[in-house]
Amino acid sequence: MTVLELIGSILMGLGILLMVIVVISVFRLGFVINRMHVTAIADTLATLLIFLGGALSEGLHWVNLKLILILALQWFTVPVCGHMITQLEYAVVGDLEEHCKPLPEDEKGEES
Amino acid sequence: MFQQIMQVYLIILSVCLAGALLYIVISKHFTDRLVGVNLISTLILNTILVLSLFLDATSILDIDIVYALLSFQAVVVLSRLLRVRMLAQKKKGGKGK
Repeated sequence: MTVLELIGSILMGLGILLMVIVVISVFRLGFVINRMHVTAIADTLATLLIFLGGALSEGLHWVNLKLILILALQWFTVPVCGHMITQLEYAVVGDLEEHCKPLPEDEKGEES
Repeated sequence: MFQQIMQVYLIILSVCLAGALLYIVISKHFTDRLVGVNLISTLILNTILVLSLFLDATSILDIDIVYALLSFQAVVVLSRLLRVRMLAQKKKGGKGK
């Protein structure tokens, strides 16, 4: 086991730890948008750590280009997915005021 | 040693996949399920990478590229379709009143 493989497997372990935290917290949080906030961690940071670990353990190899392509695809498409799901939630459910408190400044504006 | 570590990671990721599937099954709302589908696609993306390192077969990573695009398409199409249908239903209800 080389040093690069060791560093790569530590980074991948951190990413997988984040994945476990995300899966547990998806069960614990109460509202859809909170859960989407948590799954964004899995989509960006955990994926970055796992792919970085994979690239390091491969060493200097042409496969790293493929890994960069997959990571770029994931990072470009995931915000669009989140945006679409939030739009759906806003259009369908419509009780966002129960879960999201307005800012204090807005309340003052409404009162005056 | 490296292969054994990858094996442990694969086991942890498969437990996470089972948890995400359970979340989809027990959730009541449609958007919850879409969030679960998104989470499962991310988990599978990472599982395929770990699997390719475990088997030392980098050609499996081609599946990863296709999977990233397909999961994006699935979520976007499903949410768009449901949103259009729900808005049409709301419009119909408003006219009826």
